[in-house]
Formats: sequence, C-alpha cells, structure tokens
Amino acid sequence: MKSQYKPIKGIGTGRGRPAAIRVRLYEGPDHLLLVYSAGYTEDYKRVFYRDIRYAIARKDRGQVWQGILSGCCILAACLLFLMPVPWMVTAILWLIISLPFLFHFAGNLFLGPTCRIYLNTDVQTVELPVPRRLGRLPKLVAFLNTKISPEQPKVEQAVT
Amino acid sequence: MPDATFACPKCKTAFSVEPGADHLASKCPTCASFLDVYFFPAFFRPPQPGVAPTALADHTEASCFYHPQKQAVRVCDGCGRLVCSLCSIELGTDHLCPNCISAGKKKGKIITLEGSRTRYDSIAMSLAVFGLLIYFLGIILAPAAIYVSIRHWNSPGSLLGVSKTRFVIAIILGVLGLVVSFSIMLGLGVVMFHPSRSTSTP
Repeated sequence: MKSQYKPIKGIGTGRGRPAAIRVRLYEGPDHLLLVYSAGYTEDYKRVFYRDIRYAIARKDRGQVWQGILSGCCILAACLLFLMPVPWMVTAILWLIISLPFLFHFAGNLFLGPTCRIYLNTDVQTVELPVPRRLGRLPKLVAFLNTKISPEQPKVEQAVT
Repeated sequence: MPDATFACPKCKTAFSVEPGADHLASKCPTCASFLDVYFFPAFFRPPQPGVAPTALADHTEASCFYHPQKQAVRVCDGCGRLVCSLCSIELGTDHLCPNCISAGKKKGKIITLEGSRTRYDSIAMSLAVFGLLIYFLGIILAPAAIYVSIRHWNSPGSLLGVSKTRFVIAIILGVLGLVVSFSIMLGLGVVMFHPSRSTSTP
C-alpha cells in the first residue's frame, strides 16, 4: 500500500512525553501529520495547512543543560588519570569512555540553541516536538510556506 | 484592519502585530523568553462568520434531512441526503453529514479522523523474533506470531504505508522458530530419555 504521507527531510525525529514516545513529522496532501510512535501503537495529530496562523519558537535552556551533562561526564572520565596505571593506558581508556560524550558536546555546540516550537490555529496551539533546534526552524517555515501559500489566500484577497 | 495578536507560549502574554508583518524576533517582556515568530496569511484573516441555515420559503424547496424546516444547500457525499448549511461538514474535499462522520469514525473508514492505529505487523515481528531467540518460548511465541499475522492480514496498518512484507517475514520467522524449538525439544528429549542413560544409572 502506497502511503499519502512523506517524511519531511531535514527536520529529524523528536521525543514526546514520556521520552519513550518517538515523534516524526510527515507531509500530507493538505495537512501536517504528527506521528507519535509508542512501540506497537501510533497516535496521529493533524494540523491543516489552511488553518495555521503562525509558528512560534521559544528558546529554552536545553542546550545549556545538555552541555553541562556531557561536560560533567567528560570531567568524571578524567578521574581515570588518578589511577596508578601507565599514562598511555589511562589515556586510551579515557578516550574510549569519553569519546561519545565529546561527540555529544561538540554536536550540541554545533547545532545551536534548543527551542520549543508551536503551531497556532484558530482553535488550538500544537506543540511540535521536532525540530528541537532553533537553527532548523527556518527550514520548517520554508516547508510550511510552500504548502501554505496555495492554501491560504493573501490578506488583501481575503478581505475583498 | 485591526492589529492581530499572538500569545507567548510560556506566560500567555498577548502581543499585537502590525498587518503585513511576516516575522518577529523579540524577548517577551513578562517572562524574558526569546520568541521567534513566523506569520502566515491566516493570521491577518478577519474572523469568518458562520453560515446559519435559512428557513424554508415554501414547500417546493428541498429541505434538510435532519432539519425539515431548513433549506437544503448540499448533498452529503457519503449518504446522498440533502443537508442544510449547519449539517454540511467540510472534511478535506468532501462534505459529509454528522451521521456519516460518526459512522465513518466508528468503522475507521475516514482516514482523516483516525487518531490511533495498532501496529500488528510490529507485534507479529516481535513475537517471531523473540520466538527464535528464546528457543524454549518459541513453542508459544512462534505460533502466536503466525496467528497474529494471519488474523490481522487485512486489518488497517500504519498510515505511513508499511506493506504486508513484515507479516510475510513474521510468518517465515514463526515457522522457522517452530522448527528450531521443536528440534531442540526433540534433541533434549532424546538425550534425557535415551535408554542408554537409564541403564547407566545404578
């Protein structure tokens, strides 16, 4: 069966609440589909392009906390240097343990600040768990603009 | 045209925006959150007034099936009944009456109204894989995987269009799991109850 939904590229996958729920965004023919996957069930939420009034992003402290967490893990791994073993062995061990955290730390810095994104319609405000980075918001807005333009007439046209 | 307003998602403070603006980046004066807002044409659209159904002028006019005193304006795309503006509900490209919508939602025929689906293909796959990995449970899990695959072959799957391939793989793995677990059980049985084993004990 061919689906009418296509994943939106460059937006990524997010986590819902609780974190075990995976959230993805899909492009539908006339709406945006949010898919909340929790193992063996999928919950859907739809936001129709013609109803979207604005997209708002609120910067949060996620990047700072993630940086602190991975930084603390890297520092904790440095305690290995206190062990009475040859310096070379300790360095290799430290690298093995702290490499994932170093990658996370660098990636977190590179991706920029985190945010919470909401889509507003006349009747509700829907929180989008993806994208989580402020830098990816223009990409989402560009996608929404391409879909919304044919669905929503310009203000002048709407008034006349 | 009056200024449109939006609210800060954290503190709900309302902000007014000049008509024609398409982007705003500022700090909320109340909660100091940094807000990045993109506006779409619907934001500046004046509120659309609802269309009230008009009363029948004379008996020659078609009336609504649900409101006999009101003038019919459309035909329901689901059941073909004449409906007034109050009963005609726009759903995608169709106009449906309330009865068709509730019946469609109940039977799962209107995809746009579906809020949740169970992934039977994933259940079958998990049962089959665990049946293979945990050989002593395979005797239960493998038939369960085959049963789920056959029972839910025609059940609606994910909206994202996963094909029947997963069911086919689950059935193959289920059969394999059954064969493996039977063979192991048989092997164990032969070892445990072999006559040579009983004669060797004093």
